[in-house]
Amino acid sequence: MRTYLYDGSFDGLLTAYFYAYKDKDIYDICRQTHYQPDLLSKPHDISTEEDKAQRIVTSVQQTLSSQTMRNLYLLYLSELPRCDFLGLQYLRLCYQQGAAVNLAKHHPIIRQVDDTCRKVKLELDHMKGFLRFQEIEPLVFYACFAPDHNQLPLLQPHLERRFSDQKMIVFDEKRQYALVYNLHHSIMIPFTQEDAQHLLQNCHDNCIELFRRYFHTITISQRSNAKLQAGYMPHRYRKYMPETQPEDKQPL
Amino acid sequence: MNLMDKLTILADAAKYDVSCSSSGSTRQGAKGTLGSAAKAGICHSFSADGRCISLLKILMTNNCIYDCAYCLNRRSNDKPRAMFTVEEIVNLTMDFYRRNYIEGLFLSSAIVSSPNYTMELLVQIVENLRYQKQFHGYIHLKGIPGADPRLIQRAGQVADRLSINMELPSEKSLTFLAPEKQKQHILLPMQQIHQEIVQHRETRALARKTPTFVPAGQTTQMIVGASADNDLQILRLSAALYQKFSMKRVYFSAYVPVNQDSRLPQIAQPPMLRENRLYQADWLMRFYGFQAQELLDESNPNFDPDFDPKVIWAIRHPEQFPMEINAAPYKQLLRVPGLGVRCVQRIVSARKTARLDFDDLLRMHVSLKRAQYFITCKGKYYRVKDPQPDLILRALKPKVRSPYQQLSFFEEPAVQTPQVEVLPDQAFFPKASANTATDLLPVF
Repeated sequence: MRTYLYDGSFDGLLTAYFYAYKDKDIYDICRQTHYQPDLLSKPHDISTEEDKAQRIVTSVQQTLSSQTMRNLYLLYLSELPRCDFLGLQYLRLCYQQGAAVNLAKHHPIIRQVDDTCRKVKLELDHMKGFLRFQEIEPLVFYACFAPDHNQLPLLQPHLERRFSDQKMIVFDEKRQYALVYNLHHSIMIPFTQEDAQHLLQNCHDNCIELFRRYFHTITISQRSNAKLQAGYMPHRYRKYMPETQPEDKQPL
Repeated sequence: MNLMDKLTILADAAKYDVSCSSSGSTRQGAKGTLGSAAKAGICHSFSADGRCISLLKILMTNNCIYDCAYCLNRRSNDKPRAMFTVEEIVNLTMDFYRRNYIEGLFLSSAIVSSPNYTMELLVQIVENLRYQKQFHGYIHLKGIPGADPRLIQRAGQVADRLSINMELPSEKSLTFLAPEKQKQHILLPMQQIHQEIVQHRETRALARKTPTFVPAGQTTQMIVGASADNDLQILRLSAALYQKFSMKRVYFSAYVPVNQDSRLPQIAQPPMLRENRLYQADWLMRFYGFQAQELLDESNPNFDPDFDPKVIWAIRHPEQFPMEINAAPYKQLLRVPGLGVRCVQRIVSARKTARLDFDDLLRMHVSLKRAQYFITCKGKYYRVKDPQPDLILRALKPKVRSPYQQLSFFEEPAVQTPQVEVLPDQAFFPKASANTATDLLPVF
């Protein structure tokens, strides 16, 4: 049994799919950084080959559908346990049955794929709302968050379209990288807590106080319903949202 | 008065406005300008009452010339009054938007001096945001009843959504609780907005570059429980509004007792369950193909507090059930209690590939709690044999905690006599007020 190891990029994953597709002795596919040796399988390193990845993309889009490709990408971004292997099972199923197998919502693999993709898309919707910027210099904004799934690549077009006239740094604390936008285009760079602290030195944003006051004033106290609030705005995201934090706490 | 105090007063005064959706518009700015609208809307935060905070919901001023019984800002209330300047609102909106706190602005106002003067100021603020600041976020603007049609038109060119509040579901209640408001002043601008939206859509079909007019449509809001109107009246009125003015939404707001007034009912809690039932019926009308008269009629003018409107409809129509999951058309499946739009879409999609049984439904996350009594798969019921209406109602009745408790051997039992709630016999209306319905909206 073999465990395929790739470098963590989407191209790397597609290359792994390319070689693993016909391998009947495969146990799992995972990132080199996440690999834990086990008794059953032997590691098998895959080096990223862009042409192989491109062949998969073209083939999926032409013979299956671009929705299938989108699902594979969302599975990759979900970063859930064994999501990469699920992607391979999904790919094999689609090639065996045709893209119409996506209609079979009761099929175990399709159901898992749909559920995972829905989780990622739901969190994307949350993050579009819950991301909080603070102004560190005039018209330069910084935000920090730690989503369950890797959301920055999905958020990028939305942020560029919406805040096209302000410079931005959006730091994914969990994955230690950031999106940096300089009014023309954006790049992803490695970023650490120390970099963030360096940026946030003696800056104070007055709007936080205003918004916190607004947040508390707009509540109708007679209708208070903390359970409903927690359902819509899970507690794990609130650390990064200044309005839900006590007044003396510095924003992250 | 500093900005913080003003914000506190004017956000507090605006919080009873229900609408906070930011959907329906696809406004996009050029590169280098701020803002964009999302078709499905985005919720940015949720307040402690569980309502979403999508827009910066504020009044321009709470200084009102009217004296409506139900309103927090009526002139006879002794409240601190404040008024934002144009710059303050514009800067607050831009600053909050840049920090991703909000999706845009929800601007309403009490009536200061005259409806026209107020509307003019509101329009100036929005025009400033759109033209001077090049702001392309979502803007929901309140139309002031009685404002000039030309002002409404100017507002429609810059706002994404316009709304004029109905507030009370019948003319009788309106003259009783808000004697200074007139029904024409509410209905005529609604009709004007509707006509202009239709006109613009036709023009845009011919010339794509025609500027938009209220791209997210118009909405309205009604207070539930402040007057003696029953659910049937409210539902009929909202159905007529959807039909006649193609409203995007009719919002219901459970009456929160904020004022002491002999004309208002004395209640301890806002009627939230009633509000919830009305919303369920509203969804049934907008997404499930139900008509108002199917849900309520003269013999049943109010919703059942224990069961949702769809269950009640299904119980009254046993001839439609059971429905075979593998054969019933999409529109019929939507009428099964417990099945929502997403569920039905999944079922319809899956049954193209195979005949489904109950295990498949459970795998697709279809909840069978209510649906099991109304559907069959391959001709068979799930667990139940031949469900009769009384059995279904007994099974679906919400569980209430038993009033009886285990007596303690050692402690003196606290004897409690059951308290029967007696509703006060309230005379809501003066007796001789004839309803003069006009052709515009006969239900109102």
